[in-house]
Amino acid sequence: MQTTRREVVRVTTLGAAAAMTAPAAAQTPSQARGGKQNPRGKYPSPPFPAQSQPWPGLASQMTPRPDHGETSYVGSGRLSGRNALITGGDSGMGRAAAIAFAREGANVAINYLTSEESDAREVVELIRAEGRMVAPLPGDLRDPTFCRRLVNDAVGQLGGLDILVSNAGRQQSRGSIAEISDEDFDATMKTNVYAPFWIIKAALPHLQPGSAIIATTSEQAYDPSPDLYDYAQTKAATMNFVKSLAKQFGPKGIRVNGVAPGPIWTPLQISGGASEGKVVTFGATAPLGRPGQPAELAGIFVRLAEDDGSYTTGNIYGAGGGQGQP
Amino acid sequence: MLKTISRGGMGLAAIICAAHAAAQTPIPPSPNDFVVAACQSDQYEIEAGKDAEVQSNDMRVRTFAQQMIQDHTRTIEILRQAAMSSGLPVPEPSVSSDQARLLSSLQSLRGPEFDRTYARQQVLAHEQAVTVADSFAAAGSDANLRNAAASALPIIQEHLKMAQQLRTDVGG
Repeated sequence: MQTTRREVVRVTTLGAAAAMTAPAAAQTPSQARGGKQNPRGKYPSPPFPAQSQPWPGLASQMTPRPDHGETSYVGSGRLSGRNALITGGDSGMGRAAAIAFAREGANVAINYLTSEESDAREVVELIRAEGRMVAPLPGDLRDPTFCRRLVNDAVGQLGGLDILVSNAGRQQSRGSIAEISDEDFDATMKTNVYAPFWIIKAALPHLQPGSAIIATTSEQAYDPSPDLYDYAQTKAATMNFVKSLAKQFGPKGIRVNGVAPGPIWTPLQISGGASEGKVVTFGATAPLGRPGQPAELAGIFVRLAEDDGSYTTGNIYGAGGGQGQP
Repeated sequence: MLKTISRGGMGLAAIICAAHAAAQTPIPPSPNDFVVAACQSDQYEIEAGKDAEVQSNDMRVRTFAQQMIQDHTRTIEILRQAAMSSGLPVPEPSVSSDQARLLSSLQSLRGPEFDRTYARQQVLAHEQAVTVADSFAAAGSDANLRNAAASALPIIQEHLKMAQQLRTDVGG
């Protein structure tokens, strides 16, 4: 219990420190890497304070704050010269990918909902602190016109595009299919299935050979929770289109892969993605005894984007805490 | 806000408060969701307790488990009665998929490792149950169920203290 409290304070303090002194903190000289830690104690474990925010929620208002790698990710030029567009880049895994990509040398465009502006501001500052170009492009992905404009603006502002991270998602826990309204179902489908279609289609003409597309799927694609009937099937759809598009784009030299996380501590969960009770014990079911932090997935996104991963396409990389998928 | 409205029956003031509170107060579940969650929680306690009676050799764990079975058999009945009085469907005995995973991980353990895992799970499960009962007792939209939640709350809080003590005793 004491360990958990110390860790909660540590993570919260790191988050606060990153927010207040982002430019200085981001330029940490390369620290000793390697070694090993017990993954169980590396980050906060449940119980977490009961908390709830209106959709879509802010990482900055979570207790404890998630760790997106603000003070820990160290790059080494693995993505130098690259231009990336990341949807849902204000918080969660999208934020972790944005920070990591910038630290690896890429220019980054991030999309997010306008209500997430304050989280996005922090990410913009962190990217700028690396001396990289950053394009904040807020807007609602459920609109096909916006999706096409998003890609155009990213290409225009960055000067090109060769990494597309389709990561934004909508998740709302509903105990029964009977509780899902038409609007609810539509919103989940538009965000998680239609938007990737519109965005990938708009991006394709700009993607040169060697480009990479990465889509966020989920363990839910393989082992769905009963209260995520709509969300889980969209993740199965995502896992599936990774494979079909990899086959379609192989001849073009464009790689397509997916990332399947287990339970990860992000605003998705505290803004309706998990029930109020589940938030308190979030991650308890994982054999590692805790949820993952977004920072623990950053390296996967880098791996799938970088040229060194050149034979990986049509594959799903997981970070599941031991729950068994993918 | 669609989510809040679809839950039905919440006062406008509560919705506005929920919208403006940038964070930390949980919104109570709908009466039906509360009944399901609380019954599942009770059922999980009963089943985990039965596992402990069979798989633990530690007297402190077995005593604790017996208390859990006794108390949660009582609270689930109170909840079922309240649900019936409110005209809500009474759930069949079931646990959530998360609780099923937790039970499954218990079933493969024996001895001190079982005890530590059981104690850790009991602390977490009662933290969760306190959250759910507390938020419904405070602001739930059905009077019968609010009363049931309010009467269960001190029992669950006592259990949480006992579980924390057990965890200190056996480790985990």
